Amino acid sequence: MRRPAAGWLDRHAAYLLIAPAVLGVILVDVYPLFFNALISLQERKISTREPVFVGLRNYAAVIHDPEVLHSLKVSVVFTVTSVTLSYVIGLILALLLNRRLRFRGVLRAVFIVPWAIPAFVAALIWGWMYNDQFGIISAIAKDLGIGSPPIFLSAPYALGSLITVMVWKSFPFQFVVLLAGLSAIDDEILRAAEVDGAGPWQRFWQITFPLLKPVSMVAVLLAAINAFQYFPIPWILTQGGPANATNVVPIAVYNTAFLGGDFGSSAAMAMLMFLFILIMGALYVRYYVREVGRHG
Amino acid sequence: MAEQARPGRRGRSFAVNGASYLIIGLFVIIALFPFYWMLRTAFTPRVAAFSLHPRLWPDAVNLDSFVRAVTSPTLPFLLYFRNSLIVSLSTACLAVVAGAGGAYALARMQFRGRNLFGISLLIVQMFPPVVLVIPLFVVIARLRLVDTHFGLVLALVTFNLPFVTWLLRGYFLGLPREIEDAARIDGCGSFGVLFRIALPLSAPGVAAAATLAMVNSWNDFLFAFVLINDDTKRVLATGVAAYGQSNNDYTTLFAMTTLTTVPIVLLFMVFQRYLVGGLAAGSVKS
Repeated sequence: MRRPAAGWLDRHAAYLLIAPAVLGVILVDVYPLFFNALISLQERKISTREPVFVGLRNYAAVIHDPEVLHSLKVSVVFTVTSVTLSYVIGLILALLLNRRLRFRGVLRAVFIVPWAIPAFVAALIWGWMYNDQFGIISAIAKDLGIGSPPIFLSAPYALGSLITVMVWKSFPFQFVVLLAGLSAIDDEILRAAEVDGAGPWQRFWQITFPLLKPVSMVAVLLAAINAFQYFPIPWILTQGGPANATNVVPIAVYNTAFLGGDFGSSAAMAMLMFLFILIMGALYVRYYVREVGRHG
Repeated sequence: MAEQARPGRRGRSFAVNGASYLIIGLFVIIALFPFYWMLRTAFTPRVAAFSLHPRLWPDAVNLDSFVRAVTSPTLPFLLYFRNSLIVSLSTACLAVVAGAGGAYALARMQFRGRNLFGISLLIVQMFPPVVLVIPLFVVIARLRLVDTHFGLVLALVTFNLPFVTWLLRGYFLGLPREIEDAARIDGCGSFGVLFRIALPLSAPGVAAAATLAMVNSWNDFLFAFVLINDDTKRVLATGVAAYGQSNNDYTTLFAMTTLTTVPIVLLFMVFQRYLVGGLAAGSVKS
């Protein structure tokens, strides 16, 4: 196929072309991951000079630590609630906008805004809106007749306040992906069902929702992976507080290493978190590859 | 539409339409309000921003906070801005160059390990940054790249590579093969075909990939937070967030975040449709 004169460079073109990506992935992804696995098997503290191999002791300590279990619980609540709510909101908006072509472009651009705003800016704005003295949300609550609105970032409300920010930040992603998925559904099928006497409710559950399932799976898994490891918004708003009420796993991992100085335990927690994400990731790749295979 | 064909249904569909617009309107307000509140705070005189009964609409508007943000000698906002520009532009260029190579190989070449490469990129995309960033800090420290923009760029390029590669792969697959074959017959090697033919023909895809990589780097918090401690090297995300966490100067803070956010929101709106293509290529028809 190729002329012999093309030379060594051209014969190995594919490998030369992927080389920078492969090198980068090894240096920034693969090596740190293995290094992290190694650290997780060591007693490695900022106070002790030489790391000592301790086998699985860090893992044993971590899974028996009530603080870690608490963090895991907080993370699961944070992830499941924020993903569910943003999926439902995204789906409702996508269904409503899918039919109305007139303002679709403008509204799509509007609903993108929370996604486009950098996470650290979103966290700063919401922190200011939640402010118990000067915050606009308390002021509106008072205007609506709620005598003493809660202090949003205090103990019983902090996690809910954090989830609210996360839902606000992540529903646009669900909306955009689901809208694209909806527009790929053939109108003919829905029209045929209507002729056969299926009501809107039936059409949605019998046709639209099942056809949307692959897209939904991809969107939900990606969002769950993202939420489970999400760092900036919890870090800037609450840093895990008050009294660990919002101490999601990523923050616990960071604090164990850089505040506690215990790199071994932090690495073990990180590996367990990675395991969680890997399971969701495997499902995602399965769906993704299947879909790419189907549509080319 | 089917509804209009049946007059008996018009009343009901009118109510349904009303309810739809009500829900959409409510979410328009929810989506935009925090953005509005940022602008509202930034354009309000400092005294008025600290009102115990804040009002939705400001009584007075001025640009003092923006002037303070840009000219204050104790607040290196312009330095952070410059650093963010350097980091995100370098990341975008390198990610596109490295990603284009991988994408072209995936789209057009047969080689051993092709599927492994493609799927590895998808899996690597799943690696949680917070797991990698601590060991990566050690790696970067060994390479003596802590507190350098180069170290940060290296990390950000790699994290943007998977989606840049998959996005460009889609573009390359859509190009007519005949042009590339013709160039090859005229004596162009694989690299020549990629850089002289495929890349220029995919200009919109390249622009989208570069822009999105730039936006991602501009918005990144975690890597900049861990890999850069030197205040003169800080980027906007970490510099401005640190200012926000240690000061109650909300008007200046939100003037800074406004200057940080507005350009990126505009870019994002222009290029967002490609992002979905990159994320869910294949599962959604565009």
